[in-house]
Amino acid sequence: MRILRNISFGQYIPRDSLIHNLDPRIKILSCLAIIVNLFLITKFSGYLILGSFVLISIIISKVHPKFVFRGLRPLLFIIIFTLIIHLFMTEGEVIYQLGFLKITREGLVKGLLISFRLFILILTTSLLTLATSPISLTDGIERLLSVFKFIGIPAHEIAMMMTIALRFIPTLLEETEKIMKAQISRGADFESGNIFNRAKNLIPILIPLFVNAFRRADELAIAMEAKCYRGGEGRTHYRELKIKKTDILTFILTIVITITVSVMF
Amino acid sequence: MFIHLENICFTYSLGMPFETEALKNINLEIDEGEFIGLIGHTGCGKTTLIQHFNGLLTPTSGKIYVEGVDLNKKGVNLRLVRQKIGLVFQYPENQLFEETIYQEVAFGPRKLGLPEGKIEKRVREALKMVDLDYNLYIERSPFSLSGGEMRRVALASILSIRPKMLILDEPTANLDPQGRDSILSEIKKVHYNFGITVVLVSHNMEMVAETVKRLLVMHRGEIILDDTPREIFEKHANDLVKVGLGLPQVTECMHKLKAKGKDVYTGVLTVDDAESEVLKKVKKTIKRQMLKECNL
Repeated sequence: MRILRNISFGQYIPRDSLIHNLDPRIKILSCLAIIVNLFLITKFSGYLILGSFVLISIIISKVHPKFVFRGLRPLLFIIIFTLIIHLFMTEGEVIYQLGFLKITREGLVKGLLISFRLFILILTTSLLTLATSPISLTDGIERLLSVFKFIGIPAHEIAMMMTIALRFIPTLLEETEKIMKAQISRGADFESGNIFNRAKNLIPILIPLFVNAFRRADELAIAMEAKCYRGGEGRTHYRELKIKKTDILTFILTIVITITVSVMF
Repeated sequence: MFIHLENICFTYSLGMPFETEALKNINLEIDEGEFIGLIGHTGCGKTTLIQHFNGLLTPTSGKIYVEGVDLNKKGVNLRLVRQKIGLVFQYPENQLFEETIYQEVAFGPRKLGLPEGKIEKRVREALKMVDLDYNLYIERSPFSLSGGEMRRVALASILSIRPKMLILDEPTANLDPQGRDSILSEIKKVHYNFGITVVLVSHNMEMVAETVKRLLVMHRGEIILDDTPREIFEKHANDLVKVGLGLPQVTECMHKLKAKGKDVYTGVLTVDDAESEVLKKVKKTIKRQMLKECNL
C-alpha cells in the first residue's frame, strides 16, 4: 500500500491567490507560451529568466514549493538519465576522462540545458495543475478547443471525458487500496516473488477493479441520461468564464517575457 | 488473551495538510471465544480499528499483540497473523474475481500452499458453513449469483483459511431482509458451532442487540463504552443518543414506558424479551386489581 501513497493525482491545492483566480484559459495559454519558449532558448541566461519567472509565479500562488517540487520526483530519473547520456555521448573538447568514458564541454552544456528545460517544464505544468481546480481546467480546455469546432473537434465531449476521468481517479485509487487489503486478508501476497509472479498476483486486484469500474460507468451513464444529458449542444455553463483586467495584464506580461527571451537568447 | 491493544493511536496522512486523527489511545483486550459487536457512527474509526487487528494498518503509536506476538516487531510473519484473523471487508462481493466459485473459495487455502485434496475438503467445509450446496454451486461463476449469495461466497472464501477469529465489517449492508437474516444466522453458526471468535462491526442497533455478547461503542476514534449490550442499553441510553446512535426500537419503547412512570426493566434486547417483561407487569397489575375486588 506504500505504492499508492506516493501517487498524488487531482493534486489541486485551494488557495486564494492571484494565480488561482486567473482565468483557466489564460493560465493554459501562458503555460503553452512558456513551454514553446523553453524549446527555442539555447542559452543559460534565457533559462535563468524563464526559471525565475516560474519561481516567482510559484511564490505568488501561495502553494508551498514542496508540493510543486514533488512533481519532479517521478521524472528525476529521466532528467538524470538524459544528463548522463549527453555528458558521455557528445563529441567535442574533452574535459575529464575515465577509461573509455569521456566528458566533453559540449556534452556538459547540452546536458545541463536539457535538464533545465525538463526541470522548468515540469514546474510549470505542476503549478498549473496545483493552482487550477480540475473543473475550471477542463472548462478552460473546452473553451480553447471549441475554437477548432469548425474542423470537427468535439470540444465538449473531450472536456466531459476529461472531467469524468479526473473525477474517478481518486475513487479508483481508493478502491484499489480496498481491494488490495481485502485480497491480502484472504492470503494474497503482493510484495514478494519475481516479476512474473508479481504480475500474476495482480489478477485478484485487476478483475474486481474492472468489474466495478464497468458497473460504475454504466450507472453513471444511466444517471446522466436520467438528468437529460444530451451532449454539448445548447448547453449553458453554471460558471461563465470572463476575462478580467488581471487576466489580460498577466497574459501580456507572459507574452512580452517569452518573446523577449526567445529573441534575445 | 487473543488480541491485546495498548495505547493505539492512528493518524491518516501524517504530516500532510489533510492529516486526520482516526484513533485516539485505544486500549482493548479480546479473548478467544468472544462474540463482540463494534458500533459507532459513520467515520468514527471502526474500520480503521479492525484493520489494525491483522496488520493491514500500522499504528502511529502503541502496540498490538496477537497471541502474545507484537505485530510491529521486525520479522513478524504477518501472513500467519492474517491466517488466524479473517477480515471480511464491507461489500466483500466486490473482491470476487475467479471463474468459478470453487476457485474463489480455494484461493485462500491455495495461497497457504495446501495440497489439492485438502483444498477440496476446505472448500466443501466452507461452503457448508454458509449453507451453499457444494455440487450445485462450485462450477458456477461468482458473477452470476444474487447479492446475498455473492456475499456468502465471499464469506466462505475467508472461512476456508480456517481463521480463529472472524471480523466482519457491516456484513448485512445493502442486503434484503432475507439475505440479512441468512448471513446473520450463518455468523451465529460459525460462532456457536465452530467456536470462532467473532467481531461484528455495524451501526445497526437491532442487529448487534440480538446477536452479540459484548458491545464496544466507538465515538470519534475512542472506545467510550465496553460492556454487555443489556447493561449498555439499560444504563447508557443517554450516552448512545448523545453520540448519534440511538437504541434498538424495542429498548427505546421500554425506556419510554419507564419515563411514563411504568416500572419496567429497560435492558431488553429483543421483541420477545420486551413482551414477557410487559406481560409480567400487566399480570401483576391484574392480580392486584383482582385481589382488591376480592377484598370488597
